[in-house]
Amino acid sequence: MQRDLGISLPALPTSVIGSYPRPRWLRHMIRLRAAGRIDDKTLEEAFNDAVRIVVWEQEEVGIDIPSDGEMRRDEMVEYFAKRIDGFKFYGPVRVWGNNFFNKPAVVSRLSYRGSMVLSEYLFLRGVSRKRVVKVTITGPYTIADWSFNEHYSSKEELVFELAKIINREVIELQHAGALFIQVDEPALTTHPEEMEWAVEAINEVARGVNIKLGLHVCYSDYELLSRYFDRLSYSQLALEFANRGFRDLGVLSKLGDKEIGLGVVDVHRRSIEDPEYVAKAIEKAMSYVKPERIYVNPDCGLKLLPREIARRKLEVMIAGVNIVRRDLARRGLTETRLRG
Amino acid sequence: MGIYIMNHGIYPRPQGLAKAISRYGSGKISLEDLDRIYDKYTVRFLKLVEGLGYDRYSDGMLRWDDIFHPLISGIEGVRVNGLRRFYDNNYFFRQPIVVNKISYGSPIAAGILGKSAKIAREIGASIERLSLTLPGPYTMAMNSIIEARSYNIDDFMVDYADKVIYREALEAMKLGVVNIDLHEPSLAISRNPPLEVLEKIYLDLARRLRGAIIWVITYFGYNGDAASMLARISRNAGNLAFMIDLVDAGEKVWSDIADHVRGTRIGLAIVDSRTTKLESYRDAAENVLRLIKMSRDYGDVYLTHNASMEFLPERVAVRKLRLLRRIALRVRERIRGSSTQ
Repeated sequence: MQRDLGISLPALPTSVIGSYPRPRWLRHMIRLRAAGRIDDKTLEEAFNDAVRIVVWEQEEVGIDIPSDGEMRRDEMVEYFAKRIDGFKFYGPVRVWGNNFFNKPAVVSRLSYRGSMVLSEYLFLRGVSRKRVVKVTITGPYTIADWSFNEHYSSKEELVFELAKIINREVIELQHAGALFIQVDEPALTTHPEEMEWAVEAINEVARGVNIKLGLHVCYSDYELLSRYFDRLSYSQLALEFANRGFRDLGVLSKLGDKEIGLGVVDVHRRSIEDPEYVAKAIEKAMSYVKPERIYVNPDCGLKLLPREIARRKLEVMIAGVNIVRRDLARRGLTETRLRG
Repeated sequence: MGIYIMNHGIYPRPQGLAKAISRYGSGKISLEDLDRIYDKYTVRFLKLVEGLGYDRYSDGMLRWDDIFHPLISGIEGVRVNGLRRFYDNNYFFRQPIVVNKISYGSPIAAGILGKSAKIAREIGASIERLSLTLPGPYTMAMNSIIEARSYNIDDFMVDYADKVIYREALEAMKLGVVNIDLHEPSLAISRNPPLEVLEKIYLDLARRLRGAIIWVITYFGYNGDAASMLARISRNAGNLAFMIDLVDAGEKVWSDIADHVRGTRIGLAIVDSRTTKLESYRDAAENVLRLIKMSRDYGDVYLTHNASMEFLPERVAVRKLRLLRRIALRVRERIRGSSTQ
């Protein structure tokens, strides 16, 4: 049963999945730091300024729940692996096309070194004008699945070890006042035979958490995922649908009392959707889920898009949401309660 | 009868090349500049495998984004869809959608291989050791959305083999290439692949491409019926070889696999290209020896890695290529030792 966290949001609250394109000048600063031409303090200042700008940009286009755009993170697994003891890096591997990531290897017993995203949250909280902000954290199953395991005798053992570490971080965030944490688990359905224990492990992350917890799963088998909807200790599932042409929306009928974070713009194509397309997608989703349980977001992180295209995609998303909001307002629905 | 080493599939794209591709994409370097950089890294790869004494190898496939691209961009009747996960890997490809009956223009894969063959000649490498790599018919069908009403999966596979694989292979053979690799992970992981249809397709390709050796490369799992079918064709057709993934198959099926080794040209994948952990060369060599002893009469055995090496960081891929050589040396040494006793 979900709890009302005592906060009102506009109907169909809009958010991002997490990442946003880094400004060109920030990429330049990162290169300068790598070349030893600026110091850590200067780079930190650049990261802070970049977060201010991308939060402002999200808020200006009308996003209700902004993130910090993950400005400080090169990659969603690498960032955490660098902050947990026991990982080693051998070099980048391809994810798709000409996109690579620095895939870590677990070479010894993992241990929590210290907070990983707490300072990110505190800075974001300080710069955003919105009541609710989103903090993203990569889930234990995905960190394990996207790492090489040279140490643990089984992947299951590795995932549960990571779940303890991520849970500790989530609790830290909760104590610091975070209201909405999204756990990213794009790998969750990759190995159907592991789903039973994988769901248990990601529920370990939610142990002792009373705030809003979302789970983002993308480019995955949603039919398989839907069999576990009722067992997941998360109040929202943020899923990608634009990439698949809104096939599979039928799985939303199995959501129960959970919310959907509906992916309505494709983040791997540069062509811009139009507002009517977004509105139709939301209306289609409303045939499966009550509008009070729909949040709207892009399919996935926007970081691989050119910045101007990412912004235009968000503008179109908001315009599409506004079309549906007008219709909902006529039916008396103007707000959604934040639930955990 | 002998022990060889082979490489296949896509080698990790070096970061210098990846950066050059990005620079080309943002208009900072010309296509000619990019071509030179592709060539530079292809030279580096070919020198590596030649230097290690590989008996057959791909050209590294550095111009490929995945096993389907750029091949499918040249197939009329196929559109490119959104990203889809490649089996159970954190690795994605743009999924082909077959919207119409297919036709094929200029061979793309053989065109790319032509550039590598030229480089191979220049550095004194043998063209005969090079292989052309294509998605096998079943893997192409299983990873595509087939919307064309005129096709069921079987019809599509037959048409793809005839119009794309056959034509690409013919073109590659004109270059002097004899190894035609058909990557068929779907054949290894599916429970009920259409073996009768596939047997006809492979046999037909082997018959029509007499001067070539058709390699059916299976990985990510093991399907005993499919492996039996491939072993049967290999013994009968003579110019069909196949690869089995020992890493993902597991030891339980080794007696089964030993039967397939008997009298065939077979690739045994004993090194895992999905983990950075380095296998013990002694253990791996002992496993190979055990298998060929169980087979009692082995044919040509090619030791190799299971999937494409691009699932590894480049520096680990280099180590694994060296490791395979070491395993092969050990196996040969042990066989020599036992035959002289």
